[in-house]
Amino acid sequence: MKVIDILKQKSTRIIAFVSACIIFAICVASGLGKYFTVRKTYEKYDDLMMHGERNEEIEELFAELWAVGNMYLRNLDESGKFVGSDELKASTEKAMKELGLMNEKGNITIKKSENYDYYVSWGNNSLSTDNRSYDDIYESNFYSTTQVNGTFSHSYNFGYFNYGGFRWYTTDYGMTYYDFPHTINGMMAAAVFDYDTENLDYYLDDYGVKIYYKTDGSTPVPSPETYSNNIDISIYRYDENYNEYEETYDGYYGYNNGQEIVAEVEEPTAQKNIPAIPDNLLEPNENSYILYNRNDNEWVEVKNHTTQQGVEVPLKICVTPSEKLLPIYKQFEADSRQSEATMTRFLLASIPFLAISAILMLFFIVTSGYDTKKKKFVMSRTDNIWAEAVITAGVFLMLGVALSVDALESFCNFIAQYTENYQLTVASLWTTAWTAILALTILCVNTLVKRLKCRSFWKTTLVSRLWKFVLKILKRISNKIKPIIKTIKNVSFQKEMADNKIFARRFLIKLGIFILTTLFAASVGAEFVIWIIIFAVYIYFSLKDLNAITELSKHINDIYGGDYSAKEVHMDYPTYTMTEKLNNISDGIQTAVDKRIQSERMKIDLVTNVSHDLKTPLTSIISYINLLSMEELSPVARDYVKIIEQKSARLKEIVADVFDIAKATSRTDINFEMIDAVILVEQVLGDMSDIIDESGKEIRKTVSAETAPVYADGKKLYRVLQNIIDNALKYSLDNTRIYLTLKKENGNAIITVKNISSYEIKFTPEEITERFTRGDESRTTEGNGLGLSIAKSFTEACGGSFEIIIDGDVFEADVTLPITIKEK
Amino acid sequence: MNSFENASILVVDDDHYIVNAIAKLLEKEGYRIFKAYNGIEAIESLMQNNIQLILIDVMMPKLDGLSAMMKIRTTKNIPIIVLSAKSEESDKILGLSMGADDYVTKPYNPMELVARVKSNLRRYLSLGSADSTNLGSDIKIGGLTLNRDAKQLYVDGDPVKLTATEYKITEMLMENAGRVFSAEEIYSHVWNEDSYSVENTVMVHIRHIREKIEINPSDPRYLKVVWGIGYKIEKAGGQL
Repeated sequence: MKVIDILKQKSTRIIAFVSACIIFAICVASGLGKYFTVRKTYEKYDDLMMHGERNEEIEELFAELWAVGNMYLRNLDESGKFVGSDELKASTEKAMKELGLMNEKGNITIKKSENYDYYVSWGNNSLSTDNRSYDDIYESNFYSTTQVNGTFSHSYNFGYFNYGGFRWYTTDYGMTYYDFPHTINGMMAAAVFDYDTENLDYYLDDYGVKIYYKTDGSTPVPSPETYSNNIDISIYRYDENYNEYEETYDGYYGYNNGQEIVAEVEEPTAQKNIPAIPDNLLEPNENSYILYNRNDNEWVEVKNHTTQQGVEVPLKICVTPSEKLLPIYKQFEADSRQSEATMTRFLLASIPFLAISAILMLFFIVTSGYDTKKKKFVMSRTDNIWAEAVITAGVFLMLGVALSVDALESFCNFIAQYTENYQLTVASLWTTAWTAILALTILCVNTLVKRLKCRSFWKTTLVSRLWKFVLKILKRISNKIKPIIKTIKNVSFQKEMADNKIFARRFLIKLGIFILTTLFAASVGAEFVIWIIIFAVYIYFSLKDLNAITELSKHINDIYGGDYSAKEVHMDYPTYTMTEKLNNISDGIQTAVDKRIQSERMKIDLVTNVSHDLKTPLTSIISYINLLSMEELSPVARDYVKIIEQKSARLKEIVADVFDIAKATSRTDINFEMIDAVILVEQVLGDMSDIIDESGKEIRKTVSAETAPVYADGKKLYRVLQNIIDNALKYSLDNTRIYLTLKKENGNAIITVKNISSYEIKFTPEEITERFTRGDESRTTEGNGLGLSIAKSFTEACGGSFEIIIDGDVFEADVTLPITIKEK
Repeated sequence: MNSFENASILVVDDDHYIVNAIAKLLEKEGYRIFKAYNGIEAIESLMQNNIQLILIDVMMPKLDGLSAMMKIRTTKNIPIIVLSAKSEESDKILGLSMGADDYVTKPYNPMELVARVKSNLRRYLSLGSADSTNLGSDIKIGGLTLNRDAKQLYVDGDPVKLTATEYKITEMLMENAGRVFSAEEIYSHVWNEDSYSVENTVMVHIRHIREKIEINPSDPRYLKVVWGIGYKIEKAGGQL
């Protein structure tokens, strides 16, 4: 318990956070220390690194080898003889000499490097340091760098070549253009021609290469600035006054692995005055074409020549450190491996510490915001900052870790100028920066998590605040617009629309809007998001309609269930008028029901009062008849008194029965309890056994249930059974039997009394249960005709139903009571 | 004969004819009758005369019967029979719970009224009015006294002849006054055997007992049928 209490303390989590940051800072600081040690090792090999001296050397050598391979070796046959036209040979040699790759004698002169050995070949023609073979150089050591057919197949991981710059192409007009990856003898490109360029027009491209062109200006020139597919092609030309001018065309140019070029140039707009082509040159030989020599101002025929394109004859270039340089490379490799190992060891060692730091951070985040007094998570003021801002800040902070490496490095270099202890400064700066970034990130995560814990994340977002604001504005606007819309509505829908058409209309409008907007969105190629928004709006309105219908149906159900209270819906609801109408209907029903209850009560009051008013004089009558009968009377007078006595007794009964019926109908005097209909039947038969015996009639009883629990008033049911048995005894034919059955059916207990009537039944079941109807219309026999009415009223008051069935002379009374399952 | 034969009875009703008829009826039985026509007169008459029983109507001017009865009950414990045109169960319960010993509905049967007056007087004068006390082997509930030694039942002091079965049933019900017994329970206790469908038998016996001990068997004071459940004898006599 105590430990948990301590863990819940605010101070505990602050300590956890601070110590996590400190552990992290220590890890970073010691990591940086190790990093500096490793870096020092690498500094020894600076000249081998990317921009190092040795690398420059490799690149230059590579460029030379590439130029030799492409420009010279390519054009040699198997015996080493130049195969091109004389013009091409001369042009190539001229270019090679300019590049310093060929001496006056026509021998290839590649700069002798004491640091690297080389090998270059085109097909079978090869050149290499000390005539070493390719296999020898390539396989001799791991550090060689090889390019075959434009692709690097083998390269050591330091030092690289700008191989993207290796390109050459051959035009239809006999020009082969070379673009070197590195300057060779101060030149970056060269062009050779397979026709005589003597006295031809030329211009210098951006690399300083002489480009000769045909008089129609159709020699294309690539723009060296960009190698994208769409470029401007510039051609330098001369006008009639020998002034140089430039024309720019739209065009494109491309290459494939440095071996192919497709260039298309539109016809230039300006043309020079050129003499007509002589007749003898109009149809040149198949193997030649014509050129315009502007110096002589005449047309010349040039032999056709197809340049070799080296697709099927790959160019192989291989550069490898020489014996002299090889040990340095090997040492470098060994040193870097050791540094890597050191670094790995350190990182492994720091994992537990980082893990502890992470656990502490996690503890801080999990427990943060807990208030020991309130015993729940609470938010502080900072937790109300926009969640989006916090998230953005967190993301930027994390990105910052990556970005900071470069930024900090340059800052550190800047600092290095002003401080002696460079490493210490840098280490402390980095440690501070990274720890701060980590701490801030954790705080960002912490505040977000705290919001989640308090379930108020959404509330703190800018979106939710904006949404609230928008809602507020929309409400204000809608409040202003509403009266206007109402006026419009009243004008355009003067006649109230039939309720059953409201939803149809709304459906069609919604569908129309949906289809139109979808089509619109599709036609303008709107974003998926826009479509989603439209769809959401559509769904929203559909749900609103559904809601309205649901409300309405609930309202109807309430009325059905007897709840007549008025419901309120908003004026905007499509069901507004329907609800109002329903409210009117319920109001009407309520009034009617109230009135009926009131009149019923009045009727019962009337019966009660009348019966009381009848009872008082009746009491006197009965009392005095009794006194009279005690007096000395003549035999005739005594007979009369007897008749009065009998009739007053019957009157008494009638008054009591009428009163009972009224009470039963009003259901005010019913005492419900759990009783057993089986026991009841037995009790009634036992109670009436004397009367039954006296009548000389037999009752056949069939009870086909052991128990039949019903929730009813036992006394009332006793009266019911008494009355129907009495009725059967009174009106059944002599020497017939009365059948009493009790059975359970469909969850009801049904008591049936069946007898054969002693007279013809001329009444309907409805008539007999009406008050004061008797079987024998003469009304001579005893009874007042209320027996079955009472039976019906009492049965119904007990929640059952009473039915008379007449089939010829068979009279049947059914008492049906719902069986109630005992709760206990 | 006994002292209650010439007891004094106060008849209270706002209807003079009814008061006169009752007076005549009871005078024939030898009682001395005092008359009053409202609650206040009744209380006054009670103060001035030595009255042994009161017959009182409920609905009367000035002071109604129930209020008068409550006043009377503060000083007197003489039997009070309420005579009312109100015949509902709730009215009867109200009357009895407010101190009435008996409740007779109008229009009354004169013979029944006389019997009830006699019964109440006998109980009050000869047996005292203490209800529901068990003294030794005797069980006393209202006007019923069961002497278990003699196996004899007395109603308002008069011995009643019961058959052995009837006696056993009465004894069982009186010993457990207020409890409802089913026909099966009664049968198995009295006949000492289980039986199926015995309602009819038991019910016939109950009816016979009722005819012997009740003034009006169809409106019994002691032995009640709880319709659809069973039978019981009320704990306190005079209850419905």
